[in-house]
Amino acid sequence: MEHVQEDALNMHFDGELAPTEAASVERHLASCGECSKRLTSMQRLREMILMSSEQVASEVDFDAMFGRVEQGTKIAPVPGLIDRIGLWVTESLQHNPMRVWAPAGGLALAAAAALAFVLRSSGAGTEGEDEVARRGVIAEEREIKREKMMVAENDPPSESNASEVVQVDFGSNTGTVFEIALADGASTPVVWINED
Amino acid sequence: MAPDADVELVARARAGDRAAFRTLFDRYNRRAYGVAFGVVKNQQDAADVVQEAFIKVHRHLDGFQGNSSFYTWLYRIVMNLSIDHLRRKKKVTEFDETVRKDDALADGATLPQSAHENPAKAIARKELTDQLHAALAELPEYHRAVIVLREVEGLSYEEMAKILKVPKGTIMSRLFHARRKMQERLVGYLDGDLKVTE
Repeated sequence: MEHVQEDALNMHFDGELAPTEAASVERHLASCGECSKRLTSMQRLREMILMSSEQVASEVDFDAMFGRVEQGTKIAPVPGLIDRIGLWVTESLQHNPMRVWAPAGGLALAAAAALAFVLRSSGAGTEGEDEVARRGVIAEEREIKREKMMVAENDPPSESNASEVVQVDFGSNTGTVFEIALADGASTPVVWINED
Repeated sequence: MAPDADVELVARARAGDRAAFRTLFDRYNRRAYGVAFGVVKNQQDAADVVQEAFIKVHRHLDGFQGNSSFYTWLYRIVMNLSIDHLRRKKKVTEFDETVRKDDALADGATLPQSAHENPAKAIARKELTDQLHAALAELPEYHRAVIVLREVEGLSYEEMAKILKVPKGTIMSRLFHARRKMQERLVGYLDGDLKVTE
């Protein structure tokens, strides 16, 4: 006689077989003592496990457990950021003050450095702009002077806008230093070297 | 009057109804404990697991979509916590084993259920329970989980597959192997007269 396969017997025991297959297994069990014994062994194992489970569960104080569950489910209000920082500072000062002072010192230094940078940047901005403008004016004036100098290098300054300051003897040459009046009211010295 | 459906109790508990949550707790605490104990094999640990599981359930009621049944959801949490618990304890396995055996001898789990019980029957019950616990303890945790869910809870293969998140074929394989090992280990008890629970 061919016995019921282990898989099929387990599935039959668990009620997982299709009705037609279950009926087939039932017919076999009715005439096979060995397979019936295997099925009975499964049933007894289930009874043992159930008995053990019920026994241990009967000793648990579930009312007390529910009390602990309720305690565990009480959601404490979430403190605000300021409160959390305050709590952290307080606890840290009590247990490990360096946890507070070290980052606080670092933050103070960083803040001071940032403040200095900001002040300097804002000052440098104004000063920088002024400096650029001032340098622009100077460059412009120098350009004008250079142009005048070039003019002077070609021709002696005219009498109308130049005043002779001093005659200079260069050894083999002589020259004249003029003070030339500029359009903006300023003046610039010009050295005129006599070729002959 | 028909008892309230789980889904209705969950909705009320979600709205802050303490009584509804208590009803859910009362409905499933023993079964959840049976599952946890079957896996962790220690009464205090099982109680801790069940307590933590219901706290988690309460905290995540809003996230319960109702796609699965409440007990499937609960048992999944219980099972995960039980297995996590076992893995944490593996670091002290040898020590734990010693303590567990001492606890089993010292605690009242295997003592007579009443003062009037026949002493011989009480001894038989104790021996049977000890042997069962020893046999279960020898199984790998994944075998223990599936045999407890089936034999204690009567869950279908499909339900166990959902809870343990493994294919149905894996559930069947594990269950059949677990049963065979238990039958081999307890052969003398399963073939004899087990009528000790009367």
